[in-house]
Amino acid sequence: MEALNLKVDSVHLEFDGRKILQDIYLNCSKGEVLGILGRNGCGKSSLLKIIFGTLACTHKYVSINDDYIVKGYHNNRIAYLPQHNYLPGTIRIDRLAKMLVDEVYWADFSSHPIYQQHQLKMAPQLSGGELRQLETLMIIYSKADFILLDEPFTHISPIQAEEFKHIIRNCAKTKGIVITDHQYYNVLDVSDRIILISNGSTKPIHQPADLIAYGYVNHIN
Amino acid sequence: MNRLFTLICHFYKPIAFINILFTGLSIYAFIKNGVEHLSIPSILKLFSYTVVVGYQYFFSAKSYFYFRNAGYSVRSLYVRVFVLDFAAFLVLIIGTYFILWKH
Repeated sequence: MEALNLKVDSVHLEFDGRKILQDIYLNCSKGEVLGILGRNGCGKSSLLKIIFGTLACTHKYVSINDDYIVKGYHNNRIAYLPQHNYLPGTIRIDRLAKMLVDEVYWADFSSHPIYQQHQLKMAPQLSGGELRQLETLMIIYSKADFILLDEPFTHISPIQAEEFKHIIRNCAKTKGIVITDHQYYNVLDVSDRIILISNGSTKPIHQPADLIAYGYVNHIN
Repeated sequence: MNRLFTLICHFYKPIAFINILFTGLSIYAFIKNGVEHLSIPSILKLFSYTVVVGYQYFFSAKSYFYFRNAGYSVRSLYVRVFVLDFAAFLVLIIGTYFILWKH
């Protein structure tokens, strides 16, 4: 199995003169789940969009195995689960899924109850939660080497979150996964490593108590 | 190649009605004005691509992420769709010309 390493460095992002991201460094290897935590508006989603290639910034360095990447999505190197729904509403779910999901994972994906139940429907016929589950699964099981998940545990029930964590861990055997969510306990649970974005820069978190020290949480259960 | 063609079809589907409508209008303009004023249907057809991009931007820009996650940029898909659509338009124009004026 080829070793792959996603490296993100020197990201500078400003909105209206306000520095959002300025001292960013992260790396994620194939076989690893990297969790990103941070307060609202700290730039977590923006960072994922910059890595994916859909948000322009002042400066960035994104590479896979030291090959500079301009647009992360080109040639299925990186897939990204945005916070909003992204499936086109005029095409059946099964047809959409076949274009995204990796053949290697097709049996796992297609046997999932949510797909079994809704594969012949179109996106607007599903509830918000059902659609979110399907969209998340399609990204996790996609062909990309690296997966960026922006709030995958939002809009789904605790039982489904547990199931997703199991799927993420399983897929991380062959991919690198970067995950961010405000449900920090789920992120802590599923991640191999954690970084916190605070004041525009990344801070490695070595133990949960560091999150208290940086003022991200008051206490950890 | 098959996968790319299917993705192009998926990308084209929500905008097909606009393109077909403008192709119909352009052919009508061609029949009304004749070969001497070929610029009228051509400009109308090219204008339709602006309408399509605007329509997609306002009503379904979120679905761009689906195509990016499939590994393709939205710009490259627009180019492919418009080239195919314009080729179909040219075939129709030439066909109409031969039926009406060269028959």
